Amino acid sequence: MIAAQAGAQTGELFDGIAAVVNGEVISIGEVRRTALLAREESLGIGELCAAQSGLAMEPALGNQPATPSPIPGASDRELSPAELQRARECLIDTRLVFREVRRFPRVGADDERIDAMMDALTAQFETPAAFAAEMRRLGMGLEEIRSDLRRQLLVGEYVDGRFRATVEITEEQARAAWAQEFVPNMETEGVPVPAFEEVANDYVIPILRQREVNRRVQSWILDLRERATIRRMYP
Amino acid sequence: MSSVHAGRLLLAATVLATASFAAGTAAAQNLSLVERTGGGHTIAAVEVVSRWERLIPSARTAITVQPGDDYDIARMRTTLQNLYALGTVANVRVEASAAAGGLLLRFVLEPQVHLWDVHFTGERPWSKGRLRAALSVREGDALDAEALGNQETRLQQALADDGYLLAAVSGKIVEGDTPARGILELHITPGAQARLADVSITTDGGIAGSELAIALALPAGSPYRPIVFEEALDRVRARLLQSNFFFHETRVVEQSLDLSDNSMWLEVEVAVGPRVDLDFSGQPFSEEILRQRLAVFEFGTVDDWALKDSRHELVRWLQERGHWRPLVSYSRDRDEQGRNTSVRFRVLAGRTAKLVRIEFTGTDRVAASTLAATIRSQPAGFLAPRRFISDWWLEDQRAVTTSYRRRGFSEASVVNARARYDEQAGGVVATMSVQEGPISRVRSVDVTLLGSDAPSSIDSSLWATALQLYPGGPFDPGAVRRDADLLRALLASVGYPRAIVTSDAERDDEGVAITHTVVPGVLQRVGKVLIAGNDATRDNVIERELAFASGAPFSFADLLETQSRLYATGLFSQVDVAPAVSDDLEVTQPLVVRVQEAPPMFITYGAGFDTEEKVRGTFTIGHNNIAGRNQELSFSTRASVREQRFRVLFREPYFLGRRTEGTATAFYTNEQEASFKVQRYGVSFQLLVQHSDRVASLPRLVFRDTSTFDVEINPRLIRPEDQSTRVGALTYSLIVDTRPNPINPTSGFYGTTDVELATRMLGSNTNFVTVLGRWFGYRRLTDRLTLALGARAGIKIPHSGSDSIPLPERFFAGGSTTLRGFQLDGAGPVDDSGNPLGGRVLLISNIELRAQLWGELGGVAFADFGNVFAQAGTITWREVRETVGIGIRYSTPVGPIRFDFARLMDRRVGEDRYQVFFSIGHTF
Repeated sequence: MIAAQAGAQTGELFDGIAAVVNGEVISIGEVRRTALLAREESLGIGELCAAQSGLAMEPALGNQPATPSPIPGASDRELSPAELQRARECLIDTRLVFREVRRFPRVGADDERIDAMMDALTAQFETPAAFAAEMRRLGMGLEEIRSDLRRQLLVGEYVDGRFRATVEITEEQARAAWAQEFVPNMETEGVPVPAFEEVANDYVIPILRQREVNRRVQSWILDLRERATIRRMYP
Repeated sequence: MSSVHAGRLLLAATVLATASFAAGTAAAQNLSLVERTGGGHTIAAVEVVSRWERLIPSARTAITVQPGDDYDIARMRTTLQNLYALGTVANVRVEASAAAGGLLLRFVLEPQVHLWDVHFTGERPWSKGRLRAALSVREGDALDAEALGNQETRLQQALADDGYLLAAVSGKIVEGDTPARGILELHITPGAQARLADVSITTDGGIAGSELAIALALPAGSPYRPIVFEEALDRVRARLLQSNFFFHETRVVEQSLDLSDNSMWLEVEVAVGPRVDLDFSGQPFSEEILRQRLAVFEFGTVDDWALKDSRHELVRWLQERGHWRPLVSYSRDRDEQGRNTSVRFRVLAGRTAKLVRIEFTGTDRVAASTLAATIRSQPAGFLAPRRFISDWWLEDQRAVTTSYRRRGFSEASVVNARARYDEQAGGVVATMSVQEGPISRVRSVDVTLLGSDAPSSIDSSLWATALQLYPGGPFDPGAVRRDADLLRALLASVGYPRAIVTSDAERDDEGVAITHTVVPGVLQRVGKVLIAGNDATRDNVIERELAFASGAPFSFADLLETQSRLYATGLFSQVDVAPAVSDDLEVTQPLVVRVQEAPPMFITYGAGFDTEEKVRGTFTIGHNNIAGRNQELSFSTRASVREQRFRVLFREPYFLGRRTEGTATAFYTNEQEASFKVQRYGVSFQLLVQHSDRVASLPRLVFRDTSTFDVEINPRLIRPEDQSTRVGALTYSLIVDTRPNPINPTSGFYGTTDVELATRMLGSNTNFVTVLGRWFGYRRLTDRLTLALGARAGIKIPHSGSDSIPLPERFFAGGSTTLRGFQLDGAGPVDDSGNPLGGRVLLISNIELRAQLWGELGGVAFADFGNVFAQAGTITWREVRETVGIGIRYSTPVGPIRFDFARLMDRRVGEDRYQVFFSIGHTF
């Protein structure tokens, strides 16, 4: 390793500290990658953040329209400061959530489940070489992916136990939402409206439950932010 | 896989899922760089730069990315985390440029600024000390824009609280003599202090406004301070409570600042409410006691809860004063709004009595003395005039039940507890009847390891002897939880800090089967060890104090042990040992040892007085971090009328690289002994070998030249060659110390056993062997009484042609720490004029009964026996001298102030009958 004095020829900003959350570093590389993925996946940062932190993962969510990418076709452009800021804030939330989750004892995500998830993931690529190439392109290692999956599982279990388990949607609430929100939306879009009883258990109630879970999680995250020490350095 | 998990996978692994959509886009900035350099992601070289060079060495150890590695965001993040965790780096930029074979990465480190000093500029309304006290930041704290803003706000608020309502504070951080040292410069524009234009206070009757204005005590024209105003309102409330207006309401109805002259107008309205009529009859309580102890006055309320609490407190107060069965009742009248406006307490104090006896019945399987030791109530005894306190008696019943439960009597209960006055015994006899019930025993204890991470390295020997519950032993339900905690602690000590332990107790006819199920989690090991904050101190000085090594199982106990060891070096004012980031999913934890160095130069001084040395002064100056090695060089002196000592000392805490303290000393002393003056100068070298916390040995090589002057002893009794001498000797001392509190010991043992060989081979001009033992034991007899016993025995034997012991090398005894019936060194053989001659044999024993009398004040009764004998053959019972006496002790943090009055029981012609001593510290 070479030690050099300041003032030597400087290069392009490559990585560094983007933020520090309760002493835990978020790197510029992580921020850039998150912002890029959000753009490429056409996900709103909020959704990507939820996914990365393991918070909102019910299949029911998929029934809601994804937030369109703020910059269509942006994958060819430089990342904007606003995109980077949103990505940074998303990672801050992720860190806060996981820090809170790991305060509580639990059995832990077992390796078999993670192995299965890894298998499913690699199966999305035509060859192992293609999988490895993408990992390399994104600057990721197998251990990092496994570690992320483990975190996401733990957060999911925590959210299930703390929030989802206590959310109850009554039939009256479901009927009211169905009549006041779902039916008008479908009519506006010209979609045939099924009977409430046909979709209540598989569609309406899961969505309403997820909304309530999301509301509580958001409130929880706001509280975590208020109690945290956060330093922001980049962008 | 369930649909939920499938959904999680889809979104959770967003990173790679995205890759399949984004193939070929190459949009990441990292990639654009890679494409331009044409070198791929391979790191060709790594540079570390900083405008503060001192950061670079420790930063190098924190960087985990190496030339030849592929760039990896996770690994880079670990490096950045390590760098930040050092505490000396505020920010890191990683710059890249093209180089042969890949990327040249340059880590640009921004030093973390720590507070070094605070400067106040502008107009200072307060002293610097007061301004400084208003800030929350302390020397060594990290300084940044946020901290600066916080301090500005705090100071501005503090000024406003003092009446500087228009004060403005602006600050900046100025670099000190290094980039890490920040000077906080705060510019103050205080403006004028607000003054009170007028304070009016009005009431709705019951008490005159003028009377409350007196309590308010805020004259017009005085400075206006919000805190002072609040205090004034509290005085008004106190005044209202004093007049029993418990239902008053105080309201500030007008509070306006006139900006033209910075004056404050205040208007206070008081609704006094009904006056409460409080009456106490039957016992003349002082007003002071009532107001100090009763809730009605403390909380200013006569609500029912406060009346009950006050009744209880009166009973307690009377019981503490020996009224063993006082009766207190109260009655109250309410007004139409339901308020208690008239309260009458009636008190029947009853007779006074001591608690003379506590009896237990029904205790077949647990000894009454065992139960008595667990309860708070105790019978009266010497210096312990104990009373019967009903609160304690209730606590005692619970304590007895708990004591039984712990012994396996899960159905035990106290079926009757009473106290009666026993005329014959002359006091209160308390009786507790116990129903023991059957004993439950532990049938089995199983510890089951679960989880794929269950390590083979954890075997049952880890907890085999540690658990409280064992097969065949009594079953205590509380011990199940304690054993679970113990298992967690044991696992944490071998690298499983997040182990989960769940416990179950199943009862059947044969006993209780206990199962602890353990999920140890992932074995965590110590990763890289990073050291930061040491400026002068060498890394190896810190490394040798580490209780852990890279690769060893991670244990919080080792972290604390390391912290403790580093503090013990005396080099650091602050030590933090912690993981770089507390993430229990990582199997290796990089640890950061962050220190803040204390000033290496030290000066200590003191003064004292005792009856033997009279006025005494001490002074030491030294440096404890020579060349950054924790070596100490110091000069010390101690001077009194009787002696003067000078010493130069060099100490190496790790002699020859081992945990053995080596000390080289050069010294000079000049002492006035009872019958001669003596000068000594010499050098010594000693090693302190610590065998355990309680046992140490001290081999020592010493060379001293001793000369005597003004010898008053009859010349016929002391040969000229015995008056001065040169001693070269090898000494070995064994030290055992089990006292929990060496300053004021009440238990344990302290003993030293020394063997000294003085021989011509080591430069001595006389040959002799000395064996000397000093042993002291302490035992607490009651919570106020301690018995202290001491014994000292020594002998000096000439050898190899020598036939005498030189005068300054002889044993002497007498004085405040040996035989208190004599003045200093006054015991033992004397010449015709009564001048002590010293001797070859020393035998002393001391007995002291130490009592705590009142607060810090204590008393002792003592007896000292023994003497100095010319030779072993001259020891006779007649020559064993006897002293008895009493003394007073007053405890201080540096030891008790001591006053002893001693009487020599077998006084002989020419000897004083009484001696008085005053000094600091116990006799032994």
